[in-house]
Amino acid sequence: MKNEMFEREWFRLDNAAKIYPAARSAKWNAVFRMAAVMKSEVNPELLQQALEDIIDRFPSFRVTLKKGFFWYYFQYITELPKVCEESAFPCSMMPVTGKDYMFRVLYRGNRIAVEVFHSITDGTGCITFLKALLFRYCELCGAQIDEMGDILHYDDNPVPEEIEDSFGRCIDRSKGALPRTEPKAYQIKGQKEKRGVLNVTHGSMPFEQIHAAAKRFGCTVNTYLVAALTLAFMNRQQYERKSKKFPVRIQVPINLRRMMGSTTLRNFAGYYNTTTPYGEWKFEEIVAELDGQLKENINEDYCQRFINSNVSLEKNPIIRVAPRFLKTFFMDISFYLVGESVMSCAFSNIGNVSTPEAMKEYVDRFEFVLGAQKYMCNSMTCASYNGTTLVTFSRTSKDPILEREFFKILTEHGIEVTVSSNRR
Amino acid sequence: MNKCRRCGVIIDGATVNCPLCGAHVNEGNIPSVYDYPEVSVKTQKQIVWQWSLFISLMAIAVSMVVDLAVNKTITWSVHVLFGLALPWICIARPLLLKFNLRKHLSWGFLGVIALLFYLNGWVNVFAEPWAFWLGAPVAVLVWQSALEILCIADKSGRADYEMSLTKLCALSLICIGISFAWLKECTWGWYVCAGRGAIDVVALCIFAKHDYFGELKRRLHI
Repeated sequence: MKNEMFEREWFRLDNAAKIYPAARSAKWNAVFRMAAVMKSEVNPELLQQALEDIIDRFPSFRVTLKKGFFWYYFQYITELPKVCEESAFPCSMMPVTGKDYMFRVLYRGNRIAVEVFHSITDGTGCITFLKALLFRYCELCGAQIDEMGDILHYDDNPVPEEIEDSFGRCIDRSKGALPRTEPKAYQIKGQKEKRGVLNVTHGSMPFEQIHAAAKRFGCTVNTYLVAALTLAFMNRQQYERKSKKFPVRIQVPINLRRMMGSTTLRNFAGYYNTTTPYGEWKFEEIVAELDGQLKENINEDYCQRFINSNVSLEKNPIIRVAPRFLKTFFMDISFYLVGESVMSCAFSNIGNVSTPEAMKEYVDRFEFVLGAQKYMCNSMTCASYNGTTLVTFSRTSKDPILEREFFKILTEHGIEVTVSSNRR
Repeated sequence: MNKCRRCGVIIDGATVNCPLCGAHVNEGNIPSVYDYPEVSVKTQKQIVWQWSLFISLMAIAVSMVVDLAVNKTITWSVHVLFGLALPWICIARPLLLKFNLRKHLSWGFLGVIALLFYLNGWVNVFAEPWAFWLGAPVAVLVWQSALEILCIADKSGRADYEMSLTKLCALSLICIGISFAWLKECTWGWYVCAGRGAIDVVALCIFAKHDYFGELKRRLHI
């Protein structure tokens, strides 16, 4: 029995995972999606077979959310997950309590999508799962794949390090904690869509062009994209002509695994909020400002203090003994106060997705979509694969204000952008 | 693929209008591998339910404020409160939420207990608190019986019933405490409930030891 070590067991939620069940409501829960567009139509039977083959390799995915007296917890599920045909908006509401899985595998046409509730994993964990699923699916389709690269093989046994709560392991109180308070940031408030509607806009561009543009400004692709996003917000704020001006703050997630030496497949990401005060900025100036902020602040010391500040709250004896419903109430409030109201937009970049050469004959592109945010209207992601970069905006408002400004900046820099959307 | 003259971006084949500015760019609807399903946005019944809940809460709040302002105490507004709250607990909630027998049963019994207290208060303003010393213990005893039957019958969801039985045992003990604090004595009804709850817990400890303690550990994060 591969999963004997996990059978009838339960997991505590990791530190980052605890906020999501508390903050969810009847209208919203934190769901994101990683998808792959294949070069041929997806075969549902083979996909189901692939999912059944790999699920035991990922015990932290084979769980449901249960309510304890003090905290929520994950309970192992014995039933196998089922693939479903996609019929709703991306990242639609996911029933995560009871007997349901906290992820779903969807297919439609050429697309295979994995949507997960953020409590079970972060972007790195999800892309690892998707790559393992695609690897097995390609094998079942007849592909001969000799090299594995960083893909986890479905026949290997899961190791305890993959399901560890790395936040708990990496705490070092001697390094201190981060200050929690940040002032409000500028947000674009458009006319809201009906509940459940998520507008997704993909902008596909050659990686070489975006890399060359970043090089021209003397920064990385990531910094370049954050700068373009910041400028898009600045331009919009200038256009709105409101008397009170706010800084633009972009939340940039940090993968803590490399810095902290972790191989966990559960949540282990921090974030840094880049801040650009309102003003008349040129693009070069924003790049210089953000490059300085990101280089200066995203280091081991910052990550350690980030972990300390998060874990110290969880370990507080008063918070520990408080019943779950009280924690839920205060966590929901703090999610608004120190979560979404202090940032303009979240930007998550999973970088270049690597697969074995043989899989490139089957996979066309990878997509990364963040679900609707609870209070903000916009979010942006980026994923590169096989020489193409795909920037994706998701929004719960009607007008594509941010993406229009953003892609305008990119096209002005000479980048060829191909745009598609889920709304026609 | 066409280019949007306004935005300068290339538009993917399936899109008729530019997704950024809405300008008409493509004549035909050419299918693309990057297409998403077309989803019709329906008005959800939850919105209707939520509005009616909001109106009910507002009606309760307004009637209580008016009652307090006119009579300096709560008199007739308690009828509005129970008249609106009880149907919500016993009828609207089960219809609105996903079917869960254990939860609906629990809310149903809580509704019955609340109704007994309401009738008690209406009839003799708790001069003789029969709802507390007779009505509620009888309801709890029936509730315990229902949970015991379901616990034996439903093998897959047994853990939840086990925990509900434990909670009822704890509730009976709490009510004995309240009884001593409020009435300076305790009636046999709550002793019977607590005794039966204790028998349930002991039986679970003996016959379902592994599952029961495992579930308790999970729930309490021990």
